[in-house]
Amino acid sequence: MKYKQLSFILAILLVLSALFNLYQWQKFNNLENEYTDLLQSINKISYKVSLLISFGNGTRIWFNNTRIPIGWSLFNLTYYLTEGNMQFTATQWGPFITSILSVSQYDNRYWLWYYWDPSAHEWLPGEVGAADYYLKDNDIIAWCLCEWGETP
Amino acid sequence: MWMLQRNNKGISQRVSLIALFTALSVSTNYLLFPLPNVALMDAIVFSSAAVIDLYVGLSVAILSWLVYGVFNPLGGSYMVIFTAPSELVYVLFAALFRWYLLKLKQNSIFELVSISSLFAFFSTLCYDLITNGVTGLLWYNSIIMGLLTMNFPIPMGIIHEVSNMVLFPVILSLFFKFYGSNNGGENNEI
Repeated sequence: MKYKQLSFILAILLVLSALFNLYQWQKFNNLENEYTDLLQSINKISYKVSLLISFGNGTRIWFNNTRIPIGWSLFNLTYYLTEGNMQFTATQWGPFITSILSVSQYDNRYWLWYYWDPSAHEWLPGEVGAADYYLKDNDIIAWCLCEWGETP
Repeated sequence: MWMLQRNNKGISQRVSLIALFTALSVSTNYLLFPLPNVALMDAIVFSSAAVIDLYVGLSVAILSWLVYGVFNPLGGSYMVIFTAPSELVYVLFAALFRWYLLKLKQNSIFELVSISSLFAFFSTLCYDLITNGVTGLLWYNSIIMGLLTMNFPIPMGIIHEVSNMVLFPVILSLFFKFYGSNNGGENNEI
């Protein structure tokens, strides 16, 4: 009789526990679906890009897989990631960046931007100003405090 | 020793109890997964050993960890080789608990609760020291480092001990109520 009583109680607790587990699993499933839907919605209105800042002395900072609104330029991205810690001068070709993260250009070293060409497997120099280059999905861009001709 | 005596009667009943205890232990572990270091597994293992017998407790402890260690929400790990035997600490303390209860002539609910809380604290402390020591040795090459991380930066060890001190008396009382009292080895007959 004692065995039956204990078994009965254990079986009831087991069934209750299994029901709660089922409920939790269902909640998890729902949340996972909602997350997937949300991610799909976000992907429609944003891009993922990566930015490298190379100080020319071996110090490099990567900002990988940064999500940005569609329509941002490289200038917007740099301003966002440095939290405004950059300086620039206005020119007829647009803003010319002179300092990033409190490190200014000096001697023959200027802040130049490059983009990674995946087919050529090399860094290529940007052909327009930072404010005129509109980022695309999966772009890999680099700012380099370099001399002309040098790459990150 | 009465603690190791095994009654061959009711083997199938004993096996079914092992299955039920193990299933309950694993099921509640998954249920309480969102609460770190709070689980009924330890209380169920302890209670199964204290209420039925040592062999049932041993089986429940090993089987529970074999299932939960492999099908773990955080992913299966080879660490189950070390955590599964560590669970046997609770079985050992359950055996001591049964022996101690025999020594007491009459025990009130208050005595049962306070004694089981005390056993919960010490058994959990032993378990935490063993598992954290082994983890420290394997991950940091230092047992001391493993023991330091037991309660720092998050007091996981304390959470484990306090939760068990509350859960052990509750589960134990429930099982004693429906199975039997604390007449130790003489209650091996299912």
